[in-house]
Amino acid sequence: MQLLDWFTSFLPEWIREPGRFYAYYAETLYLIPLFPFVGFLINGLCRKSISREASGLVACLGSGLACFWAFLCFFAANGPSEVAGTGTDVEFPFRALHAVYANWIEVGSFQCAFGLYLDQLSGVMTLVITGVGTLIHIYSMGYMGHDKAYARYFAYLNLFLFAMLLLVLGDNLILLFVGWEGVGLCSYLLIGFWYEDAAKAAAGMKAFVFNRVGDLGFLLGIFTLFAVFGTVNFVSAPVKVGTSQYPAQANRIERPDPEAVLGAASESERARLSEPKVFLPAEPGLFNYAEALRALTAGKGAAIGNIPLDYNAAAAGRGNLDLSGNLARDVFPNGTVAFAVALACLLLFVGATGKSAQLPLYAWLPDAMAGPTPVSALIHAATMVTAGVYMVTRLGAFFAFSESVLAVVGVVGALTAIFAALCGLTQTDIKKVLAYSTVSQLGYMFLGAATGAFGLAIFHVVTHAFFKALLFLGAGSVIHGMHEEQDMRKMGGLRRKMPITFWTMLLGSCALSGVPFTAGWYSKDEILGTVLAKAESGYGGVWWLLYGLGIVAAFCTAFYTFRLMGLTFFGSCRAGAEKEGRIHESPPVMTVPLMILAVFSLVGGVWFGSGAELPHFVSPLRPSYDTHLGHALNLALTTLAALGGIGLALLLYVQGGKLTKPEPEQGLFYKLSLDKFYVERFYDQTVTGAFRLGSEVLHLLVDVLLIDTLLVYGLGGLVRWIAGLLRRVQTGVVNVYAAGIVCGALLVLYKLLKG
Amino acid sequence: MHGWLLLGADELSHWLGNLLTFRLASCLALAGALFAIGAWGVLARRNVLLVLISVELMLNAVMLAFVAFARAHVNLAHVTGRPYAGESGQIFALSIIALAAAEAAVGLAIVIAYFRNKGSVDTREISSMRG
Amino acid sequence: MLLTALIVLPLLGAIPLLLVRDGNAREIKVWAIMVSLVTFLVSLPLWFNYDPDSGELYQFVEHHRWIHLQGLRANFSLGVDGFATLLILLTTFIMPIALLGSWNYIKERQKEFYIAMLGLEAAMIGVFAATDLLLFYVFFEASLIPMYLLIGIWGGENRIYATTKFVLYTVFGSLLMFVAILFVYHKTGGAHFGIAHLAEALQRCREADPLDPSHLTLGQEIWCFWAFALAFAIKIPLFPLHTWLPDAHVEAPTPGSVILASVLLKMGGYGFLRLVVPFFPHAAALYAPFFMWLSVTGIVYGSLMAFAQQDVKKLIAYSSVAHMGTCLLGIFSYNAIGIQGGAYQMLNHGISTGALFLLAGMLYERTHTRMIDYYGGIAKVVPVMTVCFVVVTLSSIGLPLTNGFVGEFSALLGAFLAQKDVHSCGVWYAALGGLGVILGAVYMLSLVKRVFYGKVLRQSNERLADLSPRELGLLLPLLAMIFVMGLQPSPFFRRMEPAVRQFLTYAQPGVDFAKARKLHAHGTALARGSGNPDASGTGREP
Repeated sequence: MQLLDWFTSFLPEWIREPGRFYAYYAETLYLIPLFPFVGFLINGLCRKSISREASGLVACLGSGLACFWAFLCFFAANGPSEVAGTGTDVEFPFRALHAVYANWIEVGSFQCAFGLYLDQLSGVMTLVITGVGTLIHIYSMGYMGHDKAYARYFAYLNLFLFAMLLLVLGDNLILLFVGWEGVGLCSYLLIGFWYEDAAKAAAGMKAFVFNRVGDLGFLLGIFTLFAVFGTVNFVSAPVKVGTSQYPAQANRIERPDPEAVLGAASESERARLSEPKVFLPAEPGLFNYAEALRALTAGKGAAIGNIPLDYNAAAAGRGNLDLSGNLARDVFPNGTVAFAVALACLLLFVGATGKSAQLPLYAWLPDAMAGPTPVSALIHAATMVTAGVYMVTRLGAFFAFSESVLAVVGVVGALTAIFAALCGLTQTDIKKVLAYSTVSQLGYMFLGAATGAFGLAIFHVVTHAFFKALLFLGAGSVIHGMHEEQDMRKMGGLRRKMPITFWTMLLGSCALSGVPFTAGWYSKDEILGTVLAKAESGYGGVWWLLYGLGIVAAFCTAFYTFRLMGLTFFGSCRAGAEKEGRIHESPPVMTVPLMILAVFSLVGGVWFGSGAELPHFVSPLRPSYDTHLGHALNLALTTLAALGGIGLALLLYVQGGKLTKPEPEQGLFYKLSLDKFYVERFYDQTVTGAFRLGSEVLHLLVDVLLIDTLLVYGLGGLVRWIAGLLRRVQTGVVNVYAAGIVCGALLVLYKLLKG
Repeated sequence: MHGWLLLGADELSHWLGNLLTFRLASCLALAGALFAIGAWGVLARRNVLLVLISVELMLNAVMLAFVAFARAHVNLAHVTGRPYAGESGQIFALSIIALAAAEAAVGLAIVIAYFRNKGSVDTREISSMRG
Repeated sequence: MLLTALIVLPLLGAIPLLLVRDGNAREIKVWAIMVSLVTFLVSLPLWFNYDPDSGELYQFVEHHRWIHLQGLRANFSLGVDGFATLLILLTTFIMPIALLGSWNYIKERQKEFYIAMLGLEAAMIGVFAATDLLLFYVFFEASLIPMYLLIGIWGGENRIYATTKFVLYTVFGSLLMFVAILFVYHKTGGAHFGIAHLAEALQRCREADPLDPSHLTLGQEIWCFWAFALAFAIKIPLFPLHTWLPDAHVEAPTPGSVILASVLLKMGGYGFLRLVVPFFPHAAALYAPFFMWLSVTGIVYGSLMAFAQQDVKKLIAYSSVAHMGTCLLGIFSYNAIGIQGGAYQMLNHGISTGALFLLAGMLYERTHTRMIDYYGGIAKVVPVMTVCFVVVTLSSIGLPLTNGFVGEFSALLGAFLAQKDVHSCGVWYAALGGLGVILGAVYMLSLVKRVFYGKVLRQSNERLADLSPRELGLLLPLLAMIFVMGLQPSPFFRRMEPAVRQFLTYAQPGVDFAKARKLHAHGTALARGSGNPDASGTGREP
């Protein structure tokens, strides 16, 4: 410890004690996304001229500096810091960093700005993104070493980091959406990175389109929230003291004086007096509203359902919560806040199902494996796909308003978890197994969020980021070593040829399977425990079902993970002699990140999860939930599921040293699982085909036939027909015309004479 | 400058007026007859040349009517003592003469050109403008 | 005098071209581009000197006597508000780019081509600058002539069909409008054709006693509304009246397509903002839901059509139908967010679709085909062009931080919050109109995929030239605008604010829309007013 102190004494003060530079870090929060963006610009604009080494270095610097700065900002918010203007240090629990840098859209009553906000939740996410991101950047230098479009790859990767950081750091829903779409774009570009392969380009497009379906829901959810609360900011605007900005103001809640309540004469008087008064700060944000509504309805269960959309707390003598200028009142006549908020949450959740690959919009993620493997690790496992979980957690205060909404989230999450786990059982492509595993784990995260303990979901996001990134990078190492072979049926026996990859991946597999005391066990067990607790405390039978699905999925998870391990690393090599000789362990630039991630997969859970600190830490809006880590029944069941799955897989795939039993390829369930229950085929063929056919038929029917032929030509034809009648008058014989003239003249003469 | 030409114009007209008493009605009757003949020619004749001549006849009839009215205005001026107001009739007549000449020239040119091309000037066969 | 100068400058610039021989191709091009550049520079004060906070809605105002006959008094009155300022700037900004884009495209009758383009520019500026209705109409129709020639002379194989269809469609609408203009003029007492004057005079006519001959009944208002609306709905183009657009775009030469998409379509939206709704607020409010549904249909239908196309330009043309549907969706939402969003989307569409047509033209110049299936995999051959195309595509599908997002977001939000008095189902407008967000990604990205990604399909495509400096140079300002407008929309929105306020005061002159609708349901006969003040059609509350 003394050594550490001695070492740090050489560091400048702004690194040693970032908390004292609180305002400075708040002002420079923008550096976190800026570093990768600069990296993107350098690599993107100079992609022809930049050398390979420089390109990789720039990208890693962009990511690494962002990580460095994120840590400093995080500690600045977390450590002791100076109270504005007083010069004395005070220990704050966590003071969120918040700064608004520039105006953006100001139209009518709608306003949003470029502002960044680093609280516990976004702070943890930022650390994971930049930390895991940097490791994957470093790994990529090895993995993509032979690729022609090296600079382009790193440009995209840095752009992704930029968008992802914008997503988590944005201080309003619109900026979150910017990042949301931005990561979607990078995902599109990176999945289709090898665009010369049309199938890969198509996979990228599929990802983008599926995400867009969700994005529409997201947009409508934003609209609804804006209509109800008139703002899209999460928190109230930062307060300016001098030149520095300090964090947003919280609500002021006046608790009633108990003596006054007791002294009240009548029952109704007492009820009125016992209500808390909530005062919102100037320019309140969404959290202020959520907190105010919660405070007003505290202890009244579903009473929030009765708050009308034009509620005015001042009129009711309960503070200054004023929704009387509410726009949603026009949109949902007779609606209540609870209805509008529940609708908004469901719509937002549609967005989350797109981004986080939940049923029914999950189908893009398995295809997304067309991208380079580090991309799968970073985007399609560790960070981007968890954006939906982040968003649900970010707006958890609203989701928690309605148990029904939470139940929807839970059902979708659990169904996805079991569905994807079943699909993963039989896949033969090593990356596809991991892809379905990711979908399944994301389901767990939503299941965790659905319990109302949103921090749990983020806990699983963090641990999942470690072990899934590890597994993907390990798979990448295997693919690299096998010279672009992804089919597990042609692998086997790699544990001696690639020992580091094998051992690190084994740790990752244990974590994924939920072997006790690994990172995955802490988070998954906690989630299932909370679901069980919820079921036990009478929230409805559906939670028992969800718990059962979760346990079965856990069993499947353990099975397919160790099936993957068994097929890849055990037994004898099935690659063929010629290929077998060329198998090699990956270079250190790839294996070192693996080892670091393996350490985190092993101890990450303990570190962050002991006493479930992290979940509490990132759930500032709902701190009150009990930890269920020690729930005996749950402990027994999850351990049984994990070990049972592992045991069965080892029995089937490892025992004989090679593919002992041919897989029951004729079995109905096997075929169903292998074909992913025909869902993806339905999307790819039926939906796409119907869409194309429909639009072509519509084009012929409406545009060509109805409008052009019938209406446009019809009108022209009508004119032509009338003209055809009239043309007969024109005989061409002069005398006839002359007769016409004479007749006309006589007619005029007649009129004139008649008067 | 025009003095010597106009010298004694009044006397002259007096003298002529006595000699041939002007009758508007008979002039108009003559013009009407000419016009009717012309119109009949235009409607009935099939030879384009004759149709053209008929048109000329109609023009001349109109011209005659104009001149007659102009002359009538002279008498009117004598009777009422108001200033002479018949110049426009004479001007019209002069214009019509010029116009008729032009028209005849153009018309005949067309007819000749047509005859050279088609070998016929029968209106029944000239119907290329049929709609 | 600035506005007059803007209208006259291109025309003056065209005069020397009349005197030059056709052989001096290079000089002709340079001269025409210089003229349009000077026009752009001259138009810049519109941006810097237009002050939205001055309290004056119309600025740069000028009045000159034009036609003063008995019973007909039209003035050469010019002036711009926020919408017009931005649209004129869009016109003068796009014009040099379009002209530069035609550098190699136009090979014959170059002199006449550039004269037509400059004349078109003058007419388009005139449309947006005119504050006199007759003058507006004259410019509106005048812009047809050069466009007719542009498509008809320098167009593709089927150009005569396309240009005839274009002109007939447009004239069909605008002649009806002309009748309505005359009716409005005489109804309001025939003082003069000033647009602001007419809007207020019509307001007085609606409020007049039903027995007064100057009273404008709801029935008359509705007829006039349709006459005006039809003209602009064809121009914009709204869903069932859109079939001229794909043909015109496909056949038009690149610069013609660019101008057609960037500026000419905006006249429709501008007409709705400036004339249709302020002149006939009751009728507009009655039919606003109808127009919203047509816009929604246009968005979905246009997107589906775009997906079915095999021709690059036709695809982009149908995407225009969808985009302009979004504009109208915003405009008819009757709230500031939607109107500004709709107007902003018009500018965005001008930038990004203009760029798309330029890029399509560049592809065509290289391969002489517009068929999507002919391409494939050329990203490897033309990387810079691919980057440009993808960026413009992203703007077109409304990716955040590009201009498309700001406009689409605001327009959809406006539709979502559509005023309750007028609409009853804003959520559905936004939800169904929002399908454009999904479908836009489908058709645009599949275009990118089919043209640029995959393996190079044809030998001949393996040696395509990448963008020349000229081509890159003319795309760069557009790309820059995509990001500028995506990152800093506030200056644009701020300029529109006074105009939006004015629009809203015209559009809602204290009307009880529910009552008006009920009256309409009873039939216009009742509303025509036979002495019963309650059935006067204005339905005003006391």
